[in-house]
Amino acid sequence: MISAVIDLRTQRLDLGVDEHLVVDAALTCIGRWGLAKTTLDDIAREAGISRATVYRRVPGGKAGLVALVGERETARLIEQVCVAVDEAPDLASAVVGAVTAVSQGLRSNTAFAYLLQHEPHAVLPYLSFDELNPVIGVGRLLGGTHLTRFLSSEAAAEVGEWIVRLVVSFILMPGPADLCNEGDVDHLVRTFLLPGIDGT
Amino acid sequence: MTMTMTMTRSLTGAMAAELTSLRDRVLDAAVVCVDRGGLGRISLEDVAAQASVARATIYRHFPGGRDQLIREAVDREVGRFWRDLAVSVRHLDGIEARLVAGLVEARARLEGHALLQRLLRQEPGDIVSVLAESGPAVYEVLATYLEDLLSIERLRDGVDRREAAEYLARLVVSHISVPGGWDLGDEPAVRRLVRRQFLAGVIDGIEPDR
Repeated sequence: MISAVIDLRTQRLDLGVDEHLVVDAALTCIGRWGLAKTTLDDIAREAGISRATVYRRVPGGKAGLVALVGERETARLIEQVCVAVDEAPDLASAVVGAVTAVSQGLRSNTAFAYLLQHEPHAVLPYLSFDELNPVIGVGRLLGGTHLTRFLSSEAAAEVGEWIVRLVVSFILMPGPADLCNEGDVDHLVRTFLLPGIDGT
Repeated sequence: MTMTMTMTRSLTGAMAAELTSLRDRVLDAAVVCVDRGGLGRISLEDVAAQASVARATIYRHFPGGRDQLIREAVDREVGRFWRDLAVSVRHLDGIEARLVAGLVEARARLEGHALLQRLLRQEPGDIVSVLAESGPAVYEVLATYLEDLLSIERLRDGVDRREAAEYLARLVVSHISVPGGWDLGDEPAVRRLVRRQFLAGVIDGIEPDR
């Protein structure tokens, strides 16, 4: 059912105001009592619209809606990462910006936080083993397009992959560094990543 | 007095050994049952039958029932995986050689682990959640192992050995479980990965391969 929650391949979504409204309502409900207990009725009530309208706006029932929620939140994260990377003056701050943007985006997402804590079986599979490959693919793609100001495209893709691996590792196994904290991330990037990169 | 104590001690030792073998037998049976029917359908009756013990015996040794059985069986399998891996690279000198060989070996073992691969396909939520619970113990053991290896290497100025070991443990687990853009079957590629992203920041004098 959540097969598309973390389908990071979708980069841009063209959603209308109504779809955004429904997705926001779904996020609120999932953040409040989880995925299993959330019904389309709950979401309709939260959005202040009828169940029929939810069905019309978002095809595919609950599964379709969950997929849409995942896609929109992913698109948002990617957008925030791109902004952080594109305004960075050098490689170190670009990487630090990307890592902190994703980490902060995920931490402030109450639905994601709830699932991670109370329904891990619903999210962990998409962050582990082969299911993580598409996410890494997005990291490589984004790195390979947005970090080429600083690096060869191959090295840029490798750094994109490193960023995904680091962030996911800290989601699965937190601490002691806090990836929402720029100082912590800056330390990790300068200590462990930069020395292995050409031209730094 | 001394004799009694010695006897008691050896008796206790024998009893403990028997207990261990019983626990192992039950855990072996649990793995067989999971192999046969998956994680979701495993029952204590099946495990008891497979291990040729009474259901009550299982409860006595695993008061947490099914959940405890699965938990301990997975912990034991995970422990074996890492122990066997450590043994397979024991003959190699230095952290670089062990990391390179270990990553290649571990990936091959994971891909060849029929039961794990089947569970990942059929019951991904269950198996990944159970494996995640072993996470903290795995990181602790792995980081300590790597810290030992780092203690005989010359580290770069300012690098904290424990912090470096924890960083390396994260990368090891990440790369073994998810290949991503790296082919862990290609040893030269793995060496390049290890030198660039694992060790360049940690060990003095590592020139990242271009």
